Amino acid sequence: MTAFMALIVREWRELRTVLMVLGALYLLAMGGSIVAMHKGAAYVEGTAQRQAETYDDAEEYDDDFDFFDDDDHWGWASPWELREAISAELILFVYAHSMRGSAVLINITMLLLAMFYLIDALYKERSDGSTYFYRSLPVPDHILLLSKLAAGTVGILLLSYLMGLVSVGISRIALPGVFKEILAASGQSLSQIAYGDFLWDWLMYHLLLLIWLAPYASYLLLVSAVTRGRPLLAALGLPIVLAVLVRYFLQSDLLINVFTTNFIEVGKALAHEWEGNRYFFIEPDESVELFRGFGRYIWSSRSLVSLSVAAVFSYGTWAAYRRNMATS
Amino acid sequence: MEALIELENVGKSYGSTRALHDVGLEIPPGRIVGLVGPNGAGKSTLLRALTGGITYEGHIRVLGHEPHSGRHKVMAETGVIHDVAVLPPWMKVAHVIDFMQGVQPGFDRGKCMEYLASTSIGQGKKVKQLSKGMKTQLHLALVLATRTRLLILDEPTHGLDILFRKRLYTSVLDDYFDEEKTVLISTHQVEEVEHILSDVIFLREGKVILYRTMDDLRQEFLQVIASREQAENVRALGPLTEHELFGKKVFIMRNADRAVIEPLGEVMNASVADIFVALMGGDA
Repeated sequence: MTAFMALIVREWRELRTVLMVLGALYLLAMGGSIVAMHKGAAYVEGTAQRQAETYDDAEEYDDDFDFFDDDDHWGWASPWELREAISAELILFVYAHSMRGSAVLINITMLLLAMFYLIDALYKERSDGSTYFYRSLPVPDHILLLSKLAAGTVGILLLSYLMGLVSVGISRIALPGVFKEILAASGQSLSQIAYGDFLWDWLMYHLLLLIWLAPYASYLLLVSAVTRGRPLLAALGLPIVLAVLVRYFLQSDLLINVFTTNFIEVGKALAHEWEGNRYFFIEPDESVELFRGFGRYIWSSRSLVSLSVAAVFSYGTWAAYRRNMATS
Repeated sequence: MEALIELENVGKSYGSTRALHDVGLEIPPGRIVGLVGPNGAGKSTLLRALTGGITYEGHIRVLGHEPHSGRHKVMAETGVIHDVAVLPPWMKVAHVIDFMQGVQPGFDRGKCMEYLASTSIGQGKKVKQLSKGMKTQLHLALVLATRTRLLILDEPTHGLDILFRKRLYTSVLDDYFDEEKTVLISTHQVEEVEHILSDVIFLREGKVILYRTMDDLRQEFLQVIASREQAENVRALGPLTEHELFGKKVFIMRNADRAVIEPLGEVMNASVADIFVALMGGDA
């Protein structure tokens, strides 16, 4: 086992309790949503059947289910109409949107985890003295730091990606059974989702996150290497104070924009590339792509600037780390 | 024989405070060197410079490498135990051992387990659950199980009871030391390591004020216990210090002719602690 792998295993061992708790909560949420979908499907099916029995002519009955018509106008649908169209709605509104929703939720959770991890990564070992132990080992400083940065960025984003895959896998297995009757009635299938494309796009999206959020990650690690106390407050307080001062004295949002631009742009990229809204009614043999792709965002000047800024912060972290700066 | 540690004109400042001043040393292999000095003398600063923990002025070579830029190379052949418990508190003992195996090529897992088997340290316990003595034992087991040429102990017995202290030094002597290796011990407890040292360095206000082998030290410094009547004669020879003990005068003499002072009282080798106090001017 190489030293780097041993360091990554160390990070895993330190983080695994938190990750296991998050994983358990996530599986619980997944299970809950599948149960909710199951109950929803059963309710729709049951209502349609009961009302069909109550009214001789179901076509005359207007019930109060919301629904889009063929021209994409919101309106009312009878249970029969609802039942006829439910597979299209299922794929787009229940399945695809829930995938995006859970993906964003996973992302936000993981980014928060990364933030708390990185801000504590070096500060904690400086404050408990274990930095002396790590630095008494024959491992170069840049490898020690790289293990921290990799665990807090690549590691956590990889977990986010894997959780996305698990979500797809679980829903792919569980949902066809839940909506079996409805899907069979319209001749449609969840396999219409372009899973291969999704896996690739989802991976590219995470690569984009890694690159565009690298300046934030390396900044947090830098603060973790130099601050004498309250690392989170120091990390957030400094840019906020600077931004407020510039706003107050120069009447400019420049710093606020600079500090938040990559976060905003990565969110815009996700929304812009989302294809789910383009499909509403789909044909039984139509392939549904969830994202257009993130390649052009990755190969951009923003990526170059992001990586350059991250490199500067990382150099600062390396220089500070070697000085063994004391905590309060 | 090539020196394991070489220092030339080494200095270090923290702001306006001069922690090390023009330190020059050469420590060959096969020595057990005591680094002795009062608080603030610069011992920890010197050890941190040797282990690559800080920048400094001047030149240092440890095992042939400049320690700050080549810290990892130095550490491939150096074991270090600091004065504070530095093992990661959240790690389990078994995980610390796994970790060492992954990052330290010279680590011998079997030897470590063998050492730990003679202790009450459970592998399933977290480091933070261990007592101070157990943490030191664990750290010692990790260090002694690593093939190194240099062992640096920075106040290793700080906070330990007498049993742990004795065991620690016995382990260093029996399980580690040989003529190829060097041990550098920084300590306040001079008297407990005196019997195992081959050399001693006195540090005061960042300067090396004495660096001798123990043999030379014994030749150079003598203790004379004289009666009140003979005290004036001893004083005439220019002793370093003088104090009274059980009605007699005790003097520490430097470079005194044994033949001259023997008629004046009881002459014996001065202890390192007494020499240390004498050279520090009584303020240690």
